[in-house]
Amino acid sequence: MPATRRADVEALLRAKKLDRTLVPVTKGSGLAIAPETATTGLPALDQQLGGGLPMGHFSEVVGPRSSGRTSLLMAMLAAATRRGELAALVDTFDMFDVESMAAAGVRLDRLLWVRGETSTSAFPPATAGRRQPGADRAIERALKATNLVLQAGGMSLVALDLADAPIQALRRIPMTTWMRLQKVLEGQQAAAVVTGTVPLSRSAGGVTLALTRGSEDRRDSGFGIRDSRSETQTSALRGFPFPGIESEIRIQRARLVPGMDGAPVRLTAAALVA
Amino acid sequence: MFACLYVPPPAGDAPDATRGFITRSRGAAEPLYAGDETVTSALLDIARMVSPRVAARGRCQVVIDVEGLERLLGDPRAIGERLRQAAEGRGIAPVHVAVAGTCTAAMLLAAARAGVTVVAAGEEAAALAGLPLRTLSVLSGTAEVASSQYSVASRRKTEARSKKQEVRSELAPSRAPNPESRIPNPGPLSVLSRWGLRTLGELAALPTAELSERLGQEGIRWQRLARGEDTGPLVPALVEEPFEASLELEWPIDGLEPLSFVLSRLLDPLCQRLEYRDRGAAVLHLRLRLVTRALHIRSLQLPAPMRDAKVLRTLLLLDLESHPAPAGIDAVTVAIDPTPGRIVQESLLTRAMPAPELISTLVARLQALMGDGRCGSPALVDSHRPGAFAMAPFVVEQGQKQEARSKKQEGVVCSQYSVASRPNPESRIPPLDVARGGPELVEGPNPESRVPNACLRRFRLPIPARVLMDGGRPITVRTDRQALPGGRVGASAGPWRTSGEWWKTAAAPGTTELASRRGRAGWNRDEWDVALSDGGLYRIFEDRDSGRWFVEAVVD
Repeated sequence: MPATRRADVEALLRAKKLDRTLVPVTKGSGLAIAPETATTGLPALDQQLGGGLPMGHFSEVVGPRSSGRTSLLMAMLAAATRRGELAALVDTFDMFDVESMAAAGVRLDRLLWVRGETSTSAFPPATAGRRQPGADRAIERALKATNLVLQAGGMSLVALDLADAPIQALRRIPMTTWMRLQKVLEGQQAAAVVTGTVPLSRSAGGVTLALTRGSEDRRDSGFGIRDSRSETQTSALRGFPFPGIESEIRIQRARLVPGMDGAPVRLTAAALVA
Repeated sequence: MFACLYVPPPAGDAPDATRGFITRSRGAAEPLYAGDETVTSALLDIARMVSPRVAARGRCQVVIDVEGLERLLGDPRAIGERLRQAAEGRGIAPVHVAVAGTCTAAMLLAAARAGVTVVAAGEEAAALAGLPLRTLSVLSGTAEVASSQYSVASRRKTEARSKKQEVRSELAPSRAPNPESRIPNPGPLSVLSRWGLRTLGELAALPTAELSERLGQEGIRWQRLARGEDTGPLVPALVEEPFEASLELEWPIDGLEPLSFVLSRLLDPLCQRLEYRDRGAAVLHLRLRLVTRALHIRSLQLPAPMRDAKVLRTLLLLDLESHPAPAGIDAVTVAIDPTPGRIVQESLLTRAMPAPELISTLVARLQALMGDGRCGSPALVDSHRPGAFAMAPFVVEQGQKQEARSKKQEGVVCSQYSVASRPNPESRIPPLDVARGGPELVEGPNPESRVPNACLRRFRLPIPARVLMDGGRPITVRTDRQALPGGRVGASAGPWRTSGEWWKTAAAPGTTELASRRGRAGWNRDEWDVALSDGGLYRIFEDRDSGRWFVEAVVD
């Protein structure tokens, strides 16, 4: 495409305010838009993301169990509530621990906690068969609750927790659902985060943060848990078998972030003492 | 010009021991005795026939602003006569009426002289000069009565508010500018009597500077009153207006949609009246009379004063969605407990919070979707029970209040934080593995710290597990759940032995669902944190009473 034609198209898209969603940010294109961001609470990650999570878009935090998804989400909620803003957490299977929230620094009075069905629906007995109607119902309700929260506005961070949702149930969510939610969020001064096991819901301008359980050279016990026996013991952590849980955060996809070639951010959760 | 209606106390031989006033109803052979409040209320009714600007000042004493009523009612004497006749017509006798240029002069003259007394404007000091000094004691009772009336009004308001707002309203009277509080301390009156002063004229004639040197500002205020000068403006008493509307339906209705129209019809004028009065709804009552003659009553406690008809209607409908009427509806009544309107001072430094109407509607919608008690703010509870928490209403403080509160709460958050993150040495028994050294108290991370805490994801109903032990430590953990197969234990920490609430029964309030199922409220267990070969890090525990194992949480 000739350069002049391309510039014309880009100018038209800019006029229609479609430049964020349709035109990829390329170096030297002159379209490097600095989106408004919400800090994640981790300076190293914020630096790589160009300030934090983009507002007006759905972002994702994905990873396997015990990879630190909840810890990262709590750090985000803590950052938002400590700024004096409101945040909402849609807890699909009612699994969040209030003591952990408080310990992570979340201002509880600024958090709207929407508790879904109990975790039994996500963890049915093996005899229950493949189909899990309880999980489907819980996810559907959680999506409706997220929609209500987004429509009401006023929250600076809206988190939807699908970390324990069965992958089959998640795949049954129509794509249009995510598009509809994205449409509601668009233009708001709010960031939205979905936690899950696989990338599923990220909108065009959002980011996908993939978490893994620590780097290979640190996996002394093979589970991403830093074992104090192999570390130089510090006085504060001496004697505690699980002084920290290491995770690596990689920016898997981010359209509006200028460079994604940075080193993964290492997340070391503080000692588990709760 | 001001008029004052005053009913003097009866002589000491009144049959009512609790100070009553004789009221003679027409045609009644025996006089009736009524209390202060009844007489004052009757006087206010009479005064409102003449002017809306009326105020109760003191026991059985009512002041009326009659300025500008000459063309309507005649000269001041005619106004006074009219008031006296109206009082006698209501059976209140004797009644003293005084009309003067100032409120204070009218009150003092009414207290001292029977019948109707009229003093031209500017001649108050001369008219008061001959009155005895003790007449001023009438004014000293004013503050007491006014404050009691204020507290009655305040009490009524606080009944309609939540507990938190009650505290606020209790504090309000001390800050509110109460004009009655300008009545000086009656202490100096006895000093003046000892000086030999007998009349108001003698007090008014004293040199002000010397009086101030001896009695301070209190003395000056009493002197101003003796001259008939007002110390504050007249604050008219407002009529307490009931905010209630009802509608009898020709045909019973069933379902929310037709009810929505009825509610709109009732709420629109109510909210308009609230706006005119600068009031907001604190509590919203809905009474539905059903075809079965039963009453279906719902009351909504609102987190902030509201007067938007659409919002109130939505809240009522959402509440009825969760608590529907069991039969067709015959009559609908909506009543509102009013409270002063909300005044919000926004801050330039913080992001504007969403309106309480918006938050209330959102929470009501979410509760209708998820169920009661499933939506709100999480709150910590003072308990060692693992996973204990409470749900608090999600309330947004507005403007500067919110800013001030957030500053104040920084300390609270820190203290909560340390409670949550630091293990209680009394509730934990050290791990049995002595070789690894005893546990040390790990300092809870600073809230400002950039290091996140490892968070738990709790199963509210712990998942039963099969645990194989070797050498006192778990080596495999298995469950019968598809998504949680378990595996070999790679690393473990524990056991942490905790117990508590053994004195409670399962039926005690606040017990968990699990406790209800087990039939016991307390807990007695050994906790382990284990890393399994399936890649997860879990918290498991053994119930020491039953010997059964459970997976309680995932560390994530």
